[in-house]
Amino acid sequence: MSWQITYKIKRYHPDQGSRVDTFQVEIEPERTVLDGIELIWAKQDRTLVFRHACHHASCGSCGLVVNGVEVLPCIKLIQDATTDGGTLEVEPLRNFPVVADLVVDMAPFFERMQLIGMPIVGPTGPLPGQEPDEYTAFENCIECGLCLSACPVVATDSKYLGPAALAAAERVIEVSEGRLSDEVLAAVDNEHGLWRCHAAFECSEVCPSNVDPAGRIMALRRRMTFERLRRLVGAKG
Amino acid sequence: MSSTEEYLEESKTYPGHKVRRPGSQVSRWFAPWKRGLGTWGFVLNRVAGLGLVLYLFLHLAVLSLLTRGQEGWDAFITLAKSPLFLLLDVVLLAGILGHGLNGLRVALIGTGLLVRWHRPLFIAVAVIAVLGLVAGALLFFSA
Ligand code: HEM
Ligand code: SF4
Repeated sequence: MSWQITYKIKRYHPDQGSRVDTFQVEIEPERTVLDGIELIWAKQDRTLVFRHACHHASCGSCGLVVNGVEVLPCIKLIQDATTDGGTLEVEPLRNFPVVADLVVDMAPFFERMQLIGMPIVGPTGPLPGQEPDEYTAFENCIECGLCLSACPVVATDSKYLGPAALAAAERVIEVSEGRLSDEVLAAVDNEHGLWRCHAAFECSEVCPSNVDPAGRIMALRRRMTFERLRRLVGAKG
Repeated sequence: MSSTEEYLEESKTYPGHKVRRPGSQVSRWFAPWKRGLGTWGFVLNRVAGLGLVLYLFLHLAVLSLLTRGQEGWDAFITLAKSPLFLLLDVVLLAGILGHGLNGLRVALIGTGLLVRWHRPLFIAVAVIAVLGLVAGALLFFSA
């Protein structure tokens, strides 16, 4: 049985400015929010601009804000997002420049990830001494940017390195057995780096890959706090 | 909550294309709606912190009445004992308890301790703050 859903989609075109368009969609509740957007594009408005690829939460390209919360619409079921006769307010990710309609420019995010120099291929299991249940592999990050969209600090500091890149830094240090390379250190140990976080934990709330960026930032802070204390008392090495 | 002060900007990635940017960076942190306990903690902590800074200046201004002799001060003390003022004292206590206790929570978490317990810790902070507030209010109004 199909549900009747109202999609309110935020639109933007450089020549036309911003507006919200409303579409009525008949769709089964077991289908996804992205399915509905594709139906709108196929049957009602071919000019709707949105981004997607894999449809199963591994490419990280379709991230949106739906009813005020960041989601991957490719795995968000209609029935988990609203009720029969309900409304879905769909907006592009926050804190990114909007290129058109639902598509944002991810370049500022990818530049930050590059700065950390996280290798694409890395260890896949817990490191020696790590409990399997404590282990949140940064390698699972799909670079979707949901964490940057949800973070209230990214919203107010455009230079903030942001959750994913800081979590990547902690992983890089962890994998190299605690050694801090000068480049990573310079990128994270400053007022737009790990000290900027205000522990709102919103990144971990929305992360679809269970990377727990906030937990990793706190681990990085602990590491850096002890590192500074060590340097303060004059320890070498 | 989306910003109403969006503006257009030349894109750095797509030359010749105008991108839409979010608005003012000053107020966009105040968006706890539909967010988790962590964000509520952050927002309330910031509001209380700013409130305490405001109070500090008010407090100094009021203390400066002392330089104007006994009469001005006595008049202020009479005013300070009025129920409306006592209610403001309760608001101040809420700010101190909320900010101070949550500050301890943030300091703990920020040192990498009890990170996974940040939600229960927030609830504990809220419960202790409310109990302290009720005790304080009873004390203010019975004194
Ligand atoms: C009772 C003892 C206090 C403790 C334990 C405490 C703790 C903290 C902590 C941990 C933060 C950082 C919060 C974060 O990262 O989000 C903070 C921020 C702040 N505190 Fe306090 N504080 C105390 C008293 C005060 C007082 C008396 C004032 C004002 C006169 C004040 C004003 C502020 C302000 C304005 C901020 C910045 C808030 C923000 O940027 O979000 N604090 N405090
Ligand atoms: S840390 Fe999580 S939310 Fe952030 S980019 Fe990676 S997968 Fe997405």
